[in-house]
Amino acid sequence: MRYVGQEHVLTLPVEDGRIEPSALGLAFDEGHRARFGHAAPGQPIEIVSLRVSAVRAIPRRAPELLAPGSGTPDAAAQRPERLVLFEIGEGPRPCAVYERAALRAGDRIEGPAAIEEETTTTLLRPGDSAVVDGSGALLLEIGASR
Amino acid sequence: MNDRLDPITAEIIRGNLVGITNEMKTNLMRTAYNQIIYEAQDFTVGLFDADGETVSIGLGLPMFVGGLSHAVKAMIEHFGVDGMHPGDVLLTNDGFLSGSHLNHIIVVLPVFAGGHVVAYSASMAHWADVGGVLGGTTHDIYSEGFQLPMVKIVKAGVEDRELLAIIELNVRFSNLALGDLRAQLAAVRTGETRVTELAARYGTDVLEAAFRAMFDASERRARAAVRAIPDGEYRATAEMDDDGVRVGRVPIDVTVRIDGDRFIVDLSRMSPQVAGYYNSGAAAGISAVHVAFKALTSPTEGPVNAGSFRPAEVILPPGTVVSAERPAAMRWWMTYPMTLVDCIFRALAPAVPDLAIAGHHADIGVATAFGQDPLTGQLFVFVHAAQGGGWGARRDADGESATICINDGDTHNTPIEANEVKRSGLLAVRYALRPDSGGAGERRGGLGTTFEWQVETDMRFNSSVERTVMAPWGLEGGPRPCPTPSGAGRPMGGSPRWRAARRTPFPSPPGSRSSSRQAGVAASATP
Repeated sequence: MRYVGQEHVLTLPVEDGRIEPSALGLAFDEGHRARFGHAAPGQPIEIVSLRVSAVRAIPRRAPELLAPGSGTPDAAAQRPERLVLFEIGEGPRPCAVYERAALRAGDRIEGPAAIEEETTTTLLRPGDSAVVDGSGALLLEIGASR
Repeated sequence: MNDRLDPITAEIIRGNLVGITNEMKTNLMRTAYNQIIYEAQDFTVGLFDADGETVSIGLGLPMFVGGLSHAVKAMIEHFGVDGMHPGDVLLTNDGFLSGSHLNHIIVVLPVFAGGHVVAYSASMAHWADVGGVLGGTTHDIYSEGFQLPMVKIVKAGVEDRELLAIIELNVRFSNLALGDLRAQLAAVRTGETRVTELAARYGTDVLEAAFRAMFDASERRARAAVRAIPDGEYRATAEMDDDGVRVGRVPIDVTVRIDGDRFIVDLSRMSPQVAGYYNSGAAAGISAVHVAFKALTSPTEGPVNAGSFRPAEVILPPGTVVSAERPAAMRWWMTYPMTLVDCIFRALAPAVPDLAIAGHHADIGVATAFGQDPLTGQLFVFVHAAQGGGWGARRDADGESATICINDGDTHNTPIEANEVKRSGLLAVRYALRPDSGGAGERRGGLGTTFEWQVETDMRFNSSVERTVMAPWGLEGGPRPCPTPSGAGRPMGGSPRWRAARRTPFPSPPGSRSSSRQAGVAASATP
């Protein structure tokens, strides 16, 4: 709510039941005074938005799980290899590339490898490894075999 | 330090004062009715000690760093501390007190604790309209709107309805004016509540000792910074395009004398006050020195308080373009003092080359348009501000592009969507960097901008952009950029035909486009 002509608004709680405009107006004046130190009783007031929150119980849904894989990524999840420079001073080395959306639960990937998806790339350095869990998360072990 | 003031308490109080002025600022913006306040942030709020010295200031507008303190001191002298009572609120828009235009309404509330005034809580805000002629230039203060001397708008808690009625009758948008006044009251009462709480918590003597300790600490830091500048006399000059009425340049002439820890700025060679509306009062001339001084000595120290400025002495005889006397016109007060700030940097460039910055666009980039709103049929007055322009380069960096001028600090440009929603006759076409508008050099000047509005109703348009003739400058041999091609009006689809639109409101028929531009600026080419 706000006085007509203002830009910013004040959000006020309203109790369940019928809303009395005059009581709401008084509550706004009082809220404005409490928040800003000043009120303008008698000035026209407008309601800019109404917010309702409702709570009800819904049945619990089973989490979606990835189909189990063979333990190594399918050919469908493999993209062409590419060269990646890991250490300054050393040459670039061939690196396997996987598509994350095509990985399945239980797939295990050893570094060096790049796991690509639309919004990011997960890079496994040599010695790192990743396991895909049932929810699709990548569980990384850094330097497991370094 | 006071027996009861330990350094930790002093620091807690200092942090509190910054917080209070921030809260005053927020409450002013949240309750204001006028876009120039809640979007552009053309306002200043502050707390002042019992003598009117600045304790903490929340700046939208650095150019007003001295204006509020100046007005509070004048109020103290006018009413006398015995003439003020709890529940009083004082008001003025006297341009020769604030140093600025009549749109700046100053509201001051004396804060009482333990039976006496411990502080003043004050706000200045830019009202959308204060009467006076619409557009064009003005030749004296009387054509610029209503003037209220120092008055009590609230006496012991009771609003003066007669004064409110006088204001209501003299402005074009009384709902905005009275709404903004209520917002200013909200801001100063927020300050009052919080300062009263502080005084109750620590005691008024500790609070006042904390103010003094803060002034002294800020002064020590500022003096140390001045001592680092080599002693000597430094001078810089520049010229403004014209005074808005007469043809001919207006000289800005600044001498800075560094003498140990004293920073003396002599403005006695500034142009005499001019016939057009580019004059400002002494509070503005002194504030311009303070803006440059703060930037050079303690730019990041807060709160902004009177102690920081003690080493800065200003020699400013009355009657110059930055110490104008009645009946000088002052509507465009803000433009010249920015070049004054630039000239202080220019003067000191040989002494502190690593701190110096080349000239910037030095103007708010205001365009105004007024006409009939096609949807409501009502008069609308549209103020397009502030528009970013190019800033000067420094030794270690290129200049910033599309950045608001120095004296407008926290002032924002109003979002395009907010402007379009409020005025159905305007459509923003583009807001773009102007390629190659910055000066060349090893460090380049920032780029200026072009803003283009499409007009969909009959309206009149004014653009008062400065430096359309006299370009800003480079340092250390950097060349000047081109001046700003300000202008207005071309038929849609036609070839660009920019015309100067500074003096006379330029009629914009429906279907035409109006544009406001800001300069790019010179670079400092380091050898």
